Amino acid sequence: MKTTKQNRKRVWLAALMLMLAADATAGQDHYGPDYPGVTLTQKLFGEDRLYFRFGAIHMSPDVKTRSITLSNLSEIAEVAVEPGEQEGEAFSDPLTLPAAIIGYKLRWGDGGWSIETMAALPPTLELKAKGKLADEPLVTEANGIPTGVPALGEKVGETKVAPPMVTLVKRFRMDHDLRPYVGLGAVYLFTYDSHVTNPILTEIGEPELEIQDKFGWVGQVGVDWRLSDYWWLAADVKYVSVKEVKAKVDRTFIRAPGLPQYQYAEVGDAEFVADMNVYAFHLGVGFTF
Amino acid sequence: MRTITRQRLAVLCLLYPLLNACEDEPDVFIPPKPGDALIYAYPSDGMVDLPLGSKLLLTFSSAIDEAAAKADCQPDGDNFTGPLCLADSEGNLVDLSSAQVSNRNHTLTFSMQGLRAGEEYRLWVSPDIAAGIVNLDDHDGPLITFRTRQYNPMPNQAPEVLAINQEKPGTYLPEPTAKARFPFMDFSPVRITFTEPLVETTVRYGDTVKLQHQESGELVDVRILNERHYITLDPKEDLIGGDSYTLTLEGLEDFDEDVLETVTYTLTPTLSKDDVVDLNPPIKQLMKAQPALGDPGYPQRSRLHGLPLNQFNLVTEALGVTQVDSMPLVLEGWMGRPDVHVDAVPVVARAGQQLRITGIDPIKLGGEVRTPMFTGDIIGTFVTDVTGYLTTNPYRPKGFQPDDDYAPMYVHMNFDLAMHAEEPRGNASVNQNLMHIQAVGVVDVKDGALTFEVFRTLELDVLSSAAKVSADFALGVRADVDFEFEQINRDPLQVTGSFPENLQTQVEPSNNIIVVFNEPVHDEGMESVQLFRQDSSEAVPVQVRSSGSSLVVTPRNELAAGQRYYLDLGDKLKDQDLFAPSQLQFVAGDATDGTGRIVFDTASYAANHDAPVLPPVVLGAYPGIGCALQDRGVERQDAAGNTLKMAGRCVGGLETDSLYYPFSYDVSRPIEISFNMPMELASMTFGTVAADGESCEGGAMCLAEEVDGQWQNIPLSARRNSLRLRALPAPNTIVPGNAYRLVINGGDNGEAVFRSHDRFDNLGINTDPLNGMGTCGPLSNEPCEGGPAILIDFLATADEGAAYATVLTREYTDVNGNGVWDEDEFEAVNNHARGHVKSTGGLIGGANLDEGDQIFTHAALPMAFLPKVPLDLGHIGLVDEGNGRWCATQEDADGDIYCIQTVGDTSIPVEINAQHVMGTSLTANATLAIPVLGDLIPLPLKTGALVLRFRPYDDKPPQPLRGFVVNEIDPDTGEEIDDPIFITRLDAWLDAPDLRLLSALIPGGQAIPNVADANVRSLPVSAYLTGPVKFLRNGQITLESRNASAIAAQLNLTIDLGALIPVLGDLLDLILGGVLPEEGLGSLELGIAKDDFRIRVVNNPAHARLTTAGQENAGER
Repeated sequence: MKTTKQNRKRVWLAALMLMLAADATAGQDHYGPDYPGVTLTQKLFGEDRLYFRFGAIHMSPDVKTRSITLSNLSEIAEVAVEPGEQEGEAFSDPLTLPAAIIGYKLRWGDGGWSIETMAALPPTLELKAKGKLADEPLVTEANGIPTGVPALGEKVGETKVAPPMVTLVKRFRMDHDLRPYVGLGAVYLFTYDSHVTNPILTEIGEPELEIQDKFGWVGQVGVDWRLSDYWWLAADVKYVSVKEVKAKVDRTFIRAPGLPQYQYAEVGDAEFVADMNVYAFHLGVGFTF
Repeated sequence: MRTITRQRLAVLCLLYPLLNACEDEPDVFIPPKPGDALIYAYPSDGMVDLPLGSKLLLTFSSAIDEAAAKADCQPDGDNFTGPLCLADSEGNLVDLSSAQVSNRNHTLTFSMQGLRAGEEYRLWVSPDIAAGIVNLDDHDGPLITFRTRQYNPMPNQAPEVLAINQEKPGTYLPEPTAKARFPFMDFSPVRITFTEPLVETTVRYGDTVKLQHQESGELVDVRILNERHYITLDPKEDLIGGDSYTLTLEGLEDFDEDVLETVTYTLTPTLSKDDVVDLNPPIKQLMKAQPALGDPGYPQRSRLHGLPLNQFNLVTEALGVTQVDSMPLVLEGWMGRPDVHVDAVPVVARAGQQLRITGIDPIKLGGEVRTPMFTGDIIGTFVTDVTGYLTTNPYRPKGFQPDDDYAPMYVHMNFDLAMHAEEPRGNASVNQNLMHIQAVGVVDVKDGALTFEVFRTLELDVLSSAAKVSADFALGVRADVDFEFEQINRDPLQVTGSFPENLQTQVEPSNNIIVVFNEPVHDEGMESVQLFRQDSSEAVPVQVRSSGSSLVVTPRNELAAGQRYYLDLGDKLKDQDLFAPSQLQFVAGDATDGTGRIVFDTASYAANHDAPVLPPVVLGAYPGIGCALQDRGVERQDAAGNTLKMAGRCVGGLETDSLYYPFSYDVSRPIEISFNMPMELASMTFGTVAADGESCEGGAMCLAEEVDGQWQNIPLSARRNSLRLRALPAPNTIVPGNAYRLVINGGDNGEAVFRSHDRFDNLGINTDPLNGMGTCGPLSNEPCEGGPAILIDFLATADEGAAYATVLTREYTDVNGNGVWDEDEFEAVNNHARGHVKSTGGLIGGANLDEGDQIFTHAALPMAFLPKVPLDLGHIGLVDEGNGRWCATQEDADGDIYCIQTVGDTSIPVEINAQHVMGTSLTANATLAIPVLGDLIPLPLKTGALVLRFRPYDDKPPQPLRGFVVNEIDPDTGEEIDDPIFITRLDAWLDAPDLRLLSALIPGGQAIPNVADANVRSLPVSAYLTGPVKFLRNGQITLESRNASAIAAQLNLTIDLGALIPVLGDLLDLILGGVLPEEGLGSLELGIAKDDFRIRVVNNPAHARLTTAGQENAGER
């Protein structure tokens, strides 16, 4: 099952790269800035159609934990903790990385409509816990017997994220150098190479971590400011929201120092359900082909 | 277009490997497979004191190959090889073909019933027994060694310590010779198990038993429980972990007065708590039998043997099979930290907590014959702290990961349990201590909680120790800190029965005093129980012990005869409840009549000044009869046409007496000799059989077996009290199917003999009472001591599960055994026969019994309640008339036909061994009807002591004497009688060996020698006796029988008138000479009307130890 999901992710990623590759191999036009590849791009997409804003994106995840549920607990785990919802929250740290907005002006109306996407190297997202989940041992006692299992701490796991998104953008004041815009679109939360990194959870062996891939929506506002004929400075704010993302940890074995008669204790499945909301602030410069 | 496509493909080919490289597989932990295994065994290695009703259980994770399990074993040095081999300490293999495989073929069960008592057994198990077994390969030597319970004393061996807390005692020697399986904890009681029962009065804490702090030398304040071969010392405060203590045992005696070699052990408890000042270990646990009666899913199946959990059967022939259920009581336990006590996690449950099971309601004899006795719930109270240990599976390597299916965690629990029942009469019968119990089980994790499943075969005495009940006790307990834990004590402590009863008279001065409570009594406050002689304010020295819900009060010295005593229970006794003990309450209707005192009078034994002095006789014997026998070994055909070598007939009877059937001896019973008067304990000695097998040398009694023409002596151990001697053969010396001889010296050749108590002149035993007791022949009025040796040849038989007891006529009149109702003696109307003269004939012109029409009887009857049989009273001469009505075929002496209306189709046969009953003298005032003179000459007739010998039925075919217990319809009300009814046809011979005819013409009424002879020799009498079987509140069981048919017996007198006339005087001789014949005949027909022959017999209550008074006292079980 796991293998099939991993393969599916790989196919998606390959498709994305195929598109990029297609772009990369196109020829150049003679309109627009006189940079290599411009002509080819214009040939492929048309004149004054494709644009990019290369810069940095600062992503500030706002994870709303809906539930942390323990299920399929082993018999021994059930002694220590009730199956069902647990207290605690997951979060992830903000991160900043190079990214580019790539857009395509549609031939509608006054040319203020375009579709955009974001291109960046897939970030490694650290999954963290806070609150009771992080600060207090989940299994303090098993039937009144201190387990000796410490609090998990903040660090839970990490995953690589490749969230392709497409937004439909409407720019205003097309005859001005300062053009505000708004956009709305879809995002697909695509994760891979997810690992549990918590030392307590990985003492016996590394559990399997699987994060659900899911569609979400994106809202954006921004402003383009013409620097020169072709060059623009863009400030963009996106709100990315993927609701009810499930992450599941299974095959978890832990050691309970308070019960050394057991070399290890199988825990069961832990399922996190959270709304993945991200505020993404992008500042970039670029030009229109 | 073609170009673009090629470029895209090229980029893809470059990226795809990178994409794969990004996805790292997690290093998931795959638990190793444990493999199939032996996962549970009972007993566990090293266990001792296993009752013979125990089950051996082996449970595997895979299916057992039953054929392989029963394959032959081959010797291999000191070991055996084979899938399953069990051998005793001498290397004799045990036949395991009766082992059963159950529980989806995962469990093998073998009953230990056929094993020998007190024997060490070794068990080898190889992987071949079940598929894929991985944990039995690397065992050198036996997998399990265990030892069965030694029930009886061991003659000629000093007692030894068998185990301390189920560990080899060498573990605790200053220089240890063995390694403990479990640590000795600071909360552990010290449970010392001995190789044989001890004399309880020799167990004195601070004197013969001491537990001292090694450094300070201070005696530890303990609660002591001791009975049979057990001593438990439960420190009132936990010991100090890490300190050392010294346990010293010296001067402890067994029943043969062999003394334990003084021994000292060093015990160093391990601290179970976080701090030595803590009251308990740190981890609290609440445990409840679950699922129990009333819970959903009840009963669950045991993983150990597949039988229901918390629901088990009490199995005994005597009561049939009774299913009982555990009640969901919560126990509080405390656990040490598992990370501190890695090898064995200690657990303690404090004393005073209880387990509860449903009871036997009502008790049915044989499971069929209803009685009005109920037990109510049966409750087990932990009377000492329960000690438990949790370990990983002992059949897996150390550190092996526990696995519920393949390597479950283990638990060992050690405890002492006081059993009692809610209903007073049931309680009196079943209350007892179960000592040094070790239960072994597994712990697994189920539904979010630790669940314990422990197993132990318990053996309980019921019906006042007349029968044993085996119960395969599979307790399922769930631990959950959220259980509701009640600390309410609902029942106040009350006195429900006593032995002797309040205001009882003629109490045997060497008896223990037993007080039965409605629940177990706490040891604190026992010191307030005091015994006083009424004319003294000084307390009589006593030892007070608790057992079950009884207090046993043992006077240190024999009480004085003929005195009034009272036992003051004081005001400090309380029950055992852990949290809210309740004080003893005295209420109207309790055993003290609300006074808090039990008053009783000891027998004075005083005789009338003109009463004869008689030597003692053996009143009852098992096996056999208490008279010297002749015609032993004469062959007869039994009802089935088999040739039997008959046991003989009593010396002094008539040649025409029927011969007794061959004597048999159930190997589970003691040899038991009862006497008709208190005896000198020092005379109760065992000798060695003489070469000819006809007497004992160096002792009054011996047991022998003839092997290759040579008599070989079998050692015996004794339990004595003044009225009874119990002899217990050395373990395993009596083999079912073999013949043996019991010899009781008669004293004719100056041998050692049983002698009466000093107060009765220390006379030697009379072994042929039919030849005279107080008048040895016509010219002697001397006590008739001696006689031929009593030789009882018997065949040993296997234990059939009969409930047995020697029942005694109680209350009885002739406590001094002189054959006379003395002035100081109580008129015991429940053990007497009242006669009347029905007619006279011949020379007897008239007669009456105005001066003594009562015969007071005294008997000791070894009886056995045999396994139930379909109702058939044809054995006692009754004919089935249909619908449960059975009638006699002949009229009784009054012309009536006896009938009984029974209920049900089952009866309990009662074996009544051939015995003789002693009766007091009857006085008849007869007159000689002499021609010419008329009824002129009074001829008082004194029978002297009477002997009533039970005899086999001379029916066709002849049968041994039997009784039956049935349910009956009351002929008056037409309703079923509550009590079960005992019925028998008692055929007997009446003898009056000392009969004398007295003439009132002689001053002083002296006997006229040679004046008459009477036929009161083997005078046959017969009657149906019937009456209820009752269960008393002090634990005794009574049979209260009366004759349901009238009895008549004709005394034919041969009167030597020739001898009479000279005595009458010359004148009369002159007048009558030549008129009278030299000899005349007369007859006297005596009758006993219906209901006028009463016999009430009782057994000893369970805690009525056989012996008291400074020496042999100990638990009788």
